[in-house]
Order: sequence, then C-alpha cells, then structure tokens
Amino acid sequence: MILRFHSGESDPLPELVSELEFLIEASAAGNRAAFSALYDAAAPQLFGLALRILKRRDWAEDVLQEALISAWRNAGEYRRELGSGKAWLTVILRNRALDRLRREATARLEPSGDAVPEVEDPSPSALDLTISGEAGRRLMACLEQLEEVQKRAILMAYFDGLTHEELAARIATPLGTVKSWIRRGLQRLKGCLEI
Amino acid sequence: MTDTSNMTPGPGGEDRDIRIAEYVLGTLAGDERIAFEAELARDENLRRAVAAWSERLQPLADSVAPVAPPLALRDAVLARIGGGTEREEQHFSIVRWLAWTFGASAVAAAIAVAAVFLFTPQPTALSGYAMLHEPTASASVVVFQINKQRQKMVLLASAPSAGTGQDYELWILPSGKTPVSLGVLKAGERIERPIDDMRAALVQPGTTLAVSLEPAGGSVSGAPTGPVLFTGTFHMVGN
Repeated sequence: MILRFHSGESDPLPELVSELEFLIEASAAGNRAAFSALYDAAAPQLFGLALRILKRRDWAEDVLQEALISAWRNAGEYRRELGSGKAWLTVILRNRALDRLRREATARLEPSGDAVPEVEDPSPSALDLTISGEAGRRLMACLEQLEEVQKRAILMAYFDGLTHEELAARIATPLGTVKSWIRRGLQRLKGCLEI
Repeated sequence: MTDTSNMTPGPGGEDRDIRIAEYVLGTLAGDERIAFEAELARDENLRRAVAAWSERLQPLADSVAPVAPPLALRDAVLARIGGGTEREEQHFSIVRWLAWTFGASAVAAAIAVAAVFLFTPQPTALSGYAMLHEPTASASVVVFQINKQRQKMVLLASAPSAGTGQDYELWILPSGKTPVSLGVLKAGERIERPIDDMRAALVQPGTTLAVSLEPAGGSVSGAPTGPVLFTGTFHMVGN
C-alpha cells in the first residue's frame, strides 16, 4: 500500500491527511471501495497502537475490528472542521481499547476479589519517544518542558490505558499525587502548545 | 489546528478543559468516563474540545510503529460492512439498471492495484466527487472530482489497463436523458481537465456516473457501446 498512515518526516503529509478525510466522507456515503482503501491506509497504524495499549494480540485484533466497523457506521458523524481523519480514527480505537481494558479488569476482579497481577511491561520505551513530523516535534519539545514525573505519568496513561487509580498502583504513588502530576502536566502542555 | 480559545468559557473553564484532557488521555475511571460520555453526546462544544485535545495528542499515536493486521481481519471487517444495507441495495439496483440499459455488465479481472487517487492532490476547493467501482468488491476504483467553481474536473482510474486498442470512457447518466461523455480515462493516471457548463450542470448530488469500455479514443457514436465496468453516484463534499 502506498499511502501510509504513519507520518514519517519525508511524507508529503498535507495531501495524505486530506485524503483520509476524503475516504471517511466517501465511506459515509456508503462507498465500500473507499472504506477498503481507508482500511489499508489506517489499519496498520491503528493495530500498532492497539497492541501497544492492550499488549495482547487477540484483544488487539478484536478491538481493531470493532473500531473499524464503528468507523464505517459512524463515518457520517465525522466533521472535517473538527480535526484530522486520523485523530478521529485514533479516538475510536483508543475508546474501544480502553473499554476492553476496563471490562477485563472488572472481570478479573469479580470472581475472586484477588489482586490483579501486574502486567510485565513497565513501558520503558514510553520515555524515549521518537515522534516525527512538525506537530510531533512541537509536542516532543513541550513534553520535554514538563517535570519528569509529569511526563512519565502522561505517557504511561496514554500508552498503557491506565486510569488514575491504576497508574497510582503501578508506580506506588498516592492517588492525589498522581492526579496532580497529570493535571499540571496537561495544563503546561496545553500552554506550551498554544504559544 | 482547531481554535479552542472560546471553548473553555466562564469560571472553572480551565478545570473543565483539564477534565476534557483527562478524558482524552483515558485516565477517568468507569463511572466518571460514562458520565463524561453522556455529556459529550449532548454537547457540541464539548465534542469540539475533545477533538482539539485529540489533535494535540495525536503525535503520540503516530509515534507507534505500524503493525500489519492479519489478512483475515481485513476480510472479516469488509464482510461485516458488506451485508445488504439500504445503501448497497440502491447501488445494486443502479447496476441492474445499467446492465439492462447497456446490455452487458462486464467485470474486469481481479486485481490489487494501489489506489492511485490516494496520493494525488485534490483540486484545492472541492465541490464534490464520485467514486465508481465494480459490482463486485475489488480494489479497482475510478474517482471523479469537480472543483468548487465547477470548471475543472480531476479523473483518476486505479484499475488495470483497458487493453490494447481500448479505452475507458466516463459518462454522466442524467436521469431520463441520454448519457453524456466526459471523455476517456487512462488507467493509473491522474487527468485534470476543464469541464464545460453544460456538463457541469448535469452533475448533481445523486447523479450516476459510469465508465464503459470503448475503442481507443472513445466511442465514435457519442453513446456508450461497450460494457459498463464502473458505476458510482456523485456526492457533494461537505458539512
């Protein structure tokens, strides 16, 4: 597939991004050829993200499938003026992934009430991100201005799909402290990105 | 980037915006998340603010390496969107009508062609488009776009070559009137050319466009003579 959802530095991004929007609109009009092109363009990036968040291939496959079917059904709700097509798709994917994590967490808790065994992955790579593209460079620069604990909490929440409580447990830090790291971090991030 | 300056008005605006960010980040637990989503369904401004935060954090999603999903998953997804929707039936009735009108409805050989239109720029301000495809689900697609001023059209055919001595020809099928040619297409090429006022006026939302296989250079009679390969409906781009 020639179109890539991933935004490498050398990609002529504006055209590609606008084409994804076009494919979503054509899907909204019921065009399956457009949707299959959308699948080819977007599915690998979304699948990578699903795997990163869920860390289980079977769950990631379920979630990707649900997310794409949801994208087809809800394509009519997409509005170009609200944002890029890929951000729209990312929201759908992440929502499905988070739902899945929350559901599995509840299911694990209910039968026995035992503590949930922690997943092996402490996400070391979350802290040495490489993000390409102009928007990526800006976000990176702003993340670098946060305190290390704030940055780490935000990235772990994003990539591991953790709630405040789960994050607090994972890094053995009081809930209030974790919440405050995230709030302050997000505030500073927004301020920095808007300059 | 979406302007968010007016989306966090009034007292507590900053708090509210951070709540929105927490929702997008995904840190709200069960009940909080559900409550937020209920609000989201009712509040257009909230949806805007969520979109703005999603856009801010999108580079994080971009930083993850893409992984090819299993091929079977593609089939499963496409199969699940394929089944007998109203829109689909409408499409097939157009195909039947075309088959009846033009005699034969041929299906080109199965191909997997990367969609040419995907990496070509659109006309700057697009009025609308049609995507024409075959009655069977294949990767071939013909795209017709017309610019806002309705003076220029862009044609893209992501399809196998029409074959020696043959060309694809694009037609407007105005309801109740005879087909009007929009000229020939070349497989794999992007063609940009003017469209005259008479033809532009015929292209309206819901108008059917079709591609037939014709002798090289196009039909000499001014009416389609070969099999109809691709059909699609014109849509306005928009809000």
